[in-house]
Amino acid sequence: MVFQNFELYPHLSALDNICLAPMVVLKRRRAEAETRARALLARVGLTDHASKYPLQLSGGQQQRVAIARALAMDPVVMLFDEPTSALDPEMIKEVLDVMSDLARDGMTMIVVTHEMGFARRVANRIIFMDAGEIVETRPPETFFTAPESERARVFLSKILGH
Amino acid sequence: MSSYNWNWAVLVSQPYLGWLLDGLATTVMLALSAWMIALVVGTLIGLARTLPNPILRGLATAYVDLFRNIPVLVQMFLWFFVLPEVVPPEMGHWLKRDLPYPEFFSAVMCLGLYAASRVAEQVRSGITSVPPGLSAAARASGLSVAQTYRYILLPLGFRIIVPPLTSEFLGIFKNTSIALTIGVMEITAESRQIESYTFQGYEAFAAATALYLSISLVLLFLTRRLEARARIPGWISRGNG
Amino acid sequence: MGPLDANVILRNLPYLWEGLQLSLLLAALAITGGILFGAIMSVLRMSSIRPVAWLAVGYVNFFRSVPLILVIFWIYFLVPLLLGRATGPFLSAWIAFTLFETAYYCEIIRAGVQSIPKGQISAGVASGMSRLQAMRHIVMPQAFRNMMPILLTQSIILFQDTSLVYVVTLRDFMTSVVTVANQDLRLVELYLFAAVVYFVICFTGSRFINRLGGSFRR
Repeated sequence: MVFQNFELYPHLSALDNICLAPMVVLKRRRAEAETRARALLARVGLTDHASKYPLQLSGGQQQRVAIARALAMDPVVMLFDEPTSALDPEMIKEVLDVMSDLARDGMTMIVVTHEMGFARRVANRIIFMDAGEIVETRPPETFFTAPESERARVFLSKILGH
Repeated sequence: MSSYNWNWAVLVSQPYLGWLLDGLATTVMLALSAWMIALVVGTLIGLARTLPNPILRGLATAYVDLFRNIPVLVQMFLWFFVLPEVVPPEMGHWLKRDLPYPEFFSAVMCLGLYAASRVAEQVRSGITSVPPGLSAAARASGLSVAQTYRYILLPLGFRIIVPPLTSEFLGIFKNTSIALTIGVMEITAESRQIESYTFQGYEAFAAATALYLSISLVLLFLTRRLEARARIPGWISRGNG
Repeated sequence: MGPLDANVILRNLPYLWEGLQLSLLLAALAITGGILFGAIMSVLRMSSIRPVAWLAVGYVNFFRSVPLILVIFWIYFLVPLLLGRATGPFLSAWIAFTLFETAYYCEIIRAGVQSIPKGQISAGVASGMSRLQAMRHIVMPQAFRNMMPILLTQSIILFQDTSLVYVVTLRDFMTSVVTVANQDLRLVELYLFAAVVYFVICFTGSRFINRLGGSFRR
């Protein structure tokens, strides 16, 4: 699971943030957990930041560490709760790129997001929700070009209109 | 002030110098022993106050309320005079007769369990000041509640409360002086004894004051080093300016 | 030990009540003195004149490093020497508590004032107030609101600490308790009674502060 506000553990380095759950929950040995953590850091483009602490990293970097931390538990499905909404516009891209890579590699992800361009490009299925209820569920091509519900039409016209 | 005969030499002459040093040793021993009790008991109580279980939480709250609302002097008397009378006779006899130094034992228990109630409040505020998202993140990655406490909440909480905890430690040092009321010969008691033997009260109290100030300085120095080590990199403490 | 004897307490109630009144009076006077001098000290502590601020820091750190009992002894012995005559234990106890508590109240008041963002003064100055006016009408009311619960908590601790005047045999509540306990050889009853009395007063006080704290929070 990846959170809106990252929720990295501030007293642990980036590497230890990733290693903690594998060691404690999956009982992996430190060496093994670290090797895997370094590989994951490389995958999110943060090889050089392994020993830095969360609050020494930018928001985008923190969120990428958080993604690596989630990956370290070998999840079958990943949940993202508005992963880019606490980020500056410039940092959003670096996080979305990592997520696009994951999608390309076949990871199943459920993403709550307001990034429509990203959703359209990467998603297999769009679930449009309003007030806690599912309004419609469709493939992205048809959702963005010809939404079924009035609510979705209003929404899309507002955010894509400019 | 002309009627007073100053005599600083009394402080470095025997047996008075020896008394002061004995007092210092007793104060340090008392404070360290009480601190260990305070840390262990205080952590457990403080932790219990953050648990969802209402019974444990209620018991821990009652402990804190009880120990914080009775003066330390009264608690000292309860430990020393009352406890041996209200427990079964054999145990009371053991407390009064068989313990090698019953005054010291009473003082350690009293100061330790009193300070525990204060440490508990610090521990609780440390744990509750860890952003709730962090324990959610820990639980989401599969850690149990106990593991979340062990790896996230306690290490972070303790780092946050290092400054108030060290001032509690200094507080124990100062409270050791209350043990003189049950006959523990710590620094203040020794200086008072020197006063009554030599009538050089000011010199004796000045010596005691100097000893307490040096203890504080040493603690301050150790605190600085501890705080530097416990600092979370990049963490900007709130309330600056 | 025999059964508990409640009569010993009833018999001596008037005597104990006198002691309690003296404890409350000493606490009230010491709280007044401590807050008054603490406020003055905190202004000195925040002064931009370096030596003044240092003196205040020295004062605060000194009194926070030594035990209250030692201060009580000091003043008990020192005051007659300075004044040239005996003054009785009450005055010296009041002086000792005021000197000691000034250091603690000073830090509480300072923290309260400094918790108010500097922008608040700027806002006041921008609307035509002087810095002093901004301090008086904008910062102080907010700071006082913030520090009220801590000031009161410190005052409850002070009340508990008044029991320490027992060491200079001022006839406060605790000394009265000990006197009766030793006279009638009823230590268990009397010390338990003392614990209950202090607990009821301080616990009620701290509950009151909690409720107050809730209503102060904006």
